[in-house]
Amino acid sequence: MANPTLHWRMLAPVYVTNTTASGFLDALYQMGTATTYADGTTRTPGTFAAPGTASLPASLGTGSAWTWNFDATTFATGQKTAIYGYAPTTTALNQAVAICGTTSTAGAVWKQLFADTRSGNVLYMGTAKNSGTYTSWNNATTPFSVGDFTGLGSLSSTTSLYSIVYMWECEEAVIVQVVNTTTGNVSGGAAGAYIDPLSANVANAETDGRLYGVAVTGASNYMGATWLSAVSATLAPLFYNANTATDQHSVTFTPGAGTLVVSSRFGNISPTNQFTSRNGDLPQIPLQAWNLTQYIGQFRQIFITRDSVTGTAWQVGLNPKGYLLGASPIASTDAVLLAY
Amino acid sequence: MALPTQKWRALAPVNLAANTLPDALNALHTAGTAVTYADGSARVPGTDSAWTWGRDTSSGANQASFALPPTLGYAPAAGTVLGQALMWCGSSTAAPTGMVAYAYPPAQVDAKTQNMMYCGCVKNTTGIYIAGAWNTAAPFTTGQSTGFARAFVLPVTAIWNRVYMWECPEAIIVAFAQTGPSIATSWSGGGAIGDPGISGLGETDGRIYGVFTSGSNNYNQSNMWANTGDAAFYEAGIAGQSRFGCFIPGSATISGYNRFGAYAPATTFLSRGGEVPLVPVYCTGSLTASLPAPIRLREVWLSRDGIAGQVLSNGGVTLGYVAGANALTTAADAAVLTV
Repeated sequence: MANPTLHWRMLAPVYVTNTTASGFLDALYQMGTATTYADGTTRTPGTFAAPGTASLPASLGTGSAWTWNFDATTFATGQKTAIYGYAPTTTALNQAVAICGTTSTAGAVWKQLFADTRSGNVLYMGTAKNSGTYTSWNNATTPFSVGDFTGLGSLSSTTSLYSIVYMWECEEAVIVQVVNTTTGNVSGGAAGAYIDPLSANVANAETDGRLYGVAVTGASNYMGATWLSAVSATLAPLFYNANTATDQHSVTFTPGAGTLVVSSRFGNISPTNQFTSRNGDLPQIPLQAWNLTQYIGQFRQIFITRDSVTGTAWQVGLNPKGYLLGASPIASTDAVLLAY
Repeated sequence: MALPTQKWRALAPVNLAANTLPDALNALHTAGTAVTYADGSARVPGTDSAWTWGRDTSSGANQASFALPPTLGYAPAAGTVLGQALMWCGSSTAAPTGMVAYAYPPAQVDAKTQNMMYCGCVKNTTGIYIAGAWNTAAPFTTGQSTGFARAFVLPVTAIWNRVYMWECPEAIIVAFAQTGPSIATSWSGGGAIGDPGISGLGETDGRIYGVFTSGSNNYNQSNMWANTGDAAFYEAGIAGQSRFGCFIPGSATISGYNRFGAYAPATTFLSRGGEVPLVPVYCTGSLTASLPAPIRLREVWLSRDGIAGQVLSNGGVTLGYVAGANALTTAADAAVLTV
C-alpha cells in the first residue's frame, strides 16, 4: 500500500550575514520555528519546554510543520552547532533529523556518512530512526542516545560560500538548500521518509511502511545544471549516491536494520525549460530510486518537472501547486517539483 | 479524470507459415481471430480486451490485416471514445504507391518498398474498410491516419517465424520474433496508448492516439529503455529507424514522442523482497508547436529484464505479461503489461 500523500511547504528563505556554520544554523532554526510560511500562510510548529536544552518536544507541530530545537553546547563554541527536528507525523520508528556544523572541530568524533571529512564551517545532515532523546551530535553512534543514525553527510561546502538558505518541509521529510545568490551555486540535502517503497514486504519497508534516509550533495562540488541525468560527483547530483567521502550521497536504512543501502535516482532524465503540458501546466513525473541493481521505491511527492529556478513556486490562479527545487537561484536547471 | 485502467491480455504466439510478408500479415490475423488466449481462457473478439480483425486478400495474397477495438464488456462502448483502427499492411509484389507513409519530421519519410510491413493508426474512423484501400490515402472511409511506418526488418534479412501479440481494450503491441539463430524482435503497435494525465489535454475522449514501431533499419534493441535510435516508444526522427508518433488532439498532425529518461534495468531489477517493480513509462512530444505534453503509456511498465511471452504471476494469479526485446533464451529490456 502506498504511503500517505505528503504536502510540501516552503519556509521563508533567510539571508545569512554571519556565514559561519552557526550563522546558517541560526537561520535554519529561525525558519524552523517560524509561524508563517513563505506564502504568508500559518505554520504551527510544536514546542520544546526549554529551547536549547536537550529533550524531546513538549508538543509536535501540525500539518507539515516540523518542530526544531538547537544545541549550543556541543563543541563549546558559544554558538549553535546543531539543530534537530521532529516531524509532525510520527510513527513507531521515531525519526529525527539533525543538521550540524561547527567552527571548531577539536575533539570531533561524530558519526560520518561515507567517511565524510569532519571539517569546520561545513553543514552536515543525518537522519535517525528508533531515536531517543537528543544528547550531543558529536557522538560516534547517534546524537539521539539510542536507535540508528545514518551518519552525517556534507550538505554544503564551506559555509562562507553561500548567502541564503532555503528549506521545504512536509509531514515526514525536510529538504534544505544553501545558495549563493551571486554565483548561483547551490548545495543541499534531504532527510526523512521521502521514499515510498510501494510495498509492505519487510525486505522493502520498515514496519511502518516507510523508508528513512538522507541525501546530500557533498562538500566537493555544487549541484550541476543537469543533475537529474548526472552521475558524476563533479555535478553533485542530489538523490544520486557516490561512495567517496565528501561527495554526494543518497542512502536509506535497510528495513529493520541500522545498515544503509544506496538509494539513487533511477534513470537519467533530461527535461528542459520547455517541458510543459499542453495547457502550460508543469508535468509531474514520478522519480524512482534503486540501489543500482534493485528497486528501492518512489520519491514521495517529489516529481521531475521542467527546468526551473530553485526556490520558486508554481501556482495556478490562486492555487499553489508546489515548489521548485533546482540547481541555481538565477538560471533554469533540472528541477523537481515538491507538490503542495 | 483518470483514464480507465487497461487490462492487457497475451494472445497465443503464432508461427509464420513462411518468412514472407503475406505470411506475417496472416499470422497477425490468425492471432487476432483466435477464440482463446495464450493461457487458454476464452477470447471473444469485440468484447473486453479482444479486438476484431479483418484482412485484405482482394489481390490474392494478404496485403493488410487490420483491427478494430472492442466495444462490449469492460471495453469502452461505441460512441464513448473516438473510433480507431490499427492496420498492418504491405505488398510482396510491388512497392506501395497510394499508401501514406509515416513522416516525422516531414522530411523524414519512411520509404515505401516491396515486402516491407507498415503499421499505422487511424482515428475518428467508423472502421469501414474497402478492399484494396490500404494502398490509398484513406484506408478507411473516414478518419485521419498517422501515416504508415516501417514495422519490421525486411524478411530474409530477418528470419521471422513467430509473432507475439498483446492486446488491451484500446491498444495493441506486436512483436515479430525469430527463434534462431537470432532472437531479436521488431515491435509495432499503437492505439489509445497515451494518457495525458488530465483528460482535457487529450482528444475529446481524453486519450492520446498514436503508432509506434521499432523501425526497419535494426531490430528493437535489447537495451530499448535507454536506446534512442532503434527502440520501441522512441521517435528517432529518421526514416527507417524507430518511430512513435501521436496525434495532436483535435488535429490530423502528429508529434514525435520519445521515452522520457534513459534506464538500464537488468534481470536483477527486483525489489529487495523479490517483487517485480512496475515503473510507469512516460514519453514526451518533440514537436515544438505542440509542447512536450508528456503522456504515460497506459499500463505499460518498465520492469526487470525479461523475454517476450513470459507471464508474470504470483501464487498462480497472473499479474501481467512480459513484452521483451528478445524472444527466447536471453532476457533483455522488457515491458510488463498488467492485466
